[in-house]
Amino acid sequence: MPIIDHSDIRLAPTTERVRERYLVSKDRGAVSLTVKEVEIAPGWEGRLHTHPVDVSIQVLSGAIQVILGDEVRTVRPGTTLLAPPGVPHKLIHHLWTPALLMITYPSAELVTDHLE
Amino acid sequence: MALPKIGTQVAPQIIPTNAGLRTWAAPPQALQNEIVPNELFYIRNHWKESPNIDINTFELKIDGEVERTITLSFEDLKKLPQKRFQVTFECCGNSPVPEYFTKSLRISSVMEQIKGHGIMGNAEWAGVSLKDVLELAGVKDSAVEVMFEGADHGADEVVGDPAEITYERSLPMAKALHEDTILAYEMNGEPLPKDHGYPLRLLVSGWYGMNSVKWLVGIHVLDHKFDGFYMTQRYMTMNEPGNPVPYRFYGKLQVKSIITSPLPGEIIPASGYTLAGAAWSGEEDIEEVEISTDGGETWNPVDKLHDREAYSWYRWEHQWNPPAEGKYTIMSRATNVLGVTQPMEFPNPWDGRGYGNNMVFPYDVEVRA
Repeated sequence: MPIIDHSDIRLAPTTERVRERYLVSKDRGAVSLTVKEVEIAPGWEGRLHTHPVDVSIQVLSGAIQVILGDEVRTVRPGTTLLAPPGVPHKLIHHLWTPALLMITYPSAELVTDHLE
Repeated sequence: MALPKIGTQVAPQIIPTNAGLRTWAAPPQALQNEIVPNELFYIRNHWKESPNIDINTFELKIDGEVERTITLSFEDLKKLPQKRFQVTFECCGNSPVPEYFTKSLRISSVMEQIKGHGIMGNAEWAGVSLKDVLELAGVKDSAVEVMFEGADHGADEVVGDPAEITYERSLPMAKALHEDTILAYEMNGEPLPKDHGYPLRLLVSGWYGMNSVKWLVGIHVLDHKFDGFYMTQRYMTMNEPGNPVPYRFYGKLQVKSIITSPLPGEIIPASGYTLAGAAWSGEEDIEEVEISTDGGETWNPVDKLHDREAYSWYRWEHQWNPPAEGKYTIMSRATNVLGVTQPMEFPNPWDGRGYGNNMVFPYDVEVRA
């Protein structure tokens, strides 16, 4: 059974203003679960998208903004977002300091359909 | 759950910084203009619920070392001469303390991460001079301080002890009798919003925000210095070892400046950019604001330093033509008319609360073609 030492894994840049690291992943033997940390820097805007599985997004530090209907809600540590299968969601970050998120989904790969 | 629509425009929103929902920071965009709109103005309350006060039954009591105890209705107050001017203030916990201090100190980590420079704002306030109200009661020669009682009360938010305490602060007579210390009932042309003290708050021009007691219901003229909980147990910091004055009290705002353009994360075009920001020193005028674009090695006065209105912040602008693409650390540094300049380091490292941070803030930016 893998014991995953977080200090062995570094946050690596993926796209503009985003760094991430996989804690539980197929590379470590997982077949139906992924857990990763994502750091998002100010000035970032995601695109509206869906996934075919549940995705949970827990705010570990900093804050992130989620768009609900016409409004923007700012969420902080002590908050977890759930994007059910097929439900469009979009995060943005126009705040003072980076957000660190823990993202969990019940698959080893994640399919994303962008709507914008 | 409301689903997001394609292409939703993103409006800036006030930022919740703690779990008890007592403190909200202004987003960076809110500090880019002279006036911070009411809905984006920071909120720092001590209890979750703001008091509900009925303006029709509202009473303000003035007692203590006065010739006559009086009670004023909201209508009585509105009949007094109106004062209307801009005032900038910040919470003494505003602005991030550098990480090399927060690691060793007992600073609220969540708020420290989220707040940025957002625990401050500038608005146009209207109300009446506290001096006019005190003169109606007649202040006795025995008066030493004036204590202000808010309608907000409850258990201490930090440790729950005391279990029941009312928000009360005091001012020395000289500041209480200054004509620009006002009892405000309007904020940016609207009745004071509930979270900002409706219907009446104290507004101590040029001083840190916690002095300006909200939901004001009592003014008590004292023949001694007030030593209440929020004067002696909160909003104080320890001075350095060996200082004959052991504690530091937060009255007048210190000299300070911030950069508001670019926004955090905004990319600066290599073709040039107008940096902008704010500077203030509470009761004092600002003499100069300087800019460094090389991490503090060299400094130049800003191109344009606009005058302030009453006690507002000074807005400044500076054209920057970066020599090349890449990463830069830019900084602004203000000096007031007394010759006091912002320190380069966090000024209170011997205290764990991170209060009174008026350091020169390094700001990392990226320049691209």
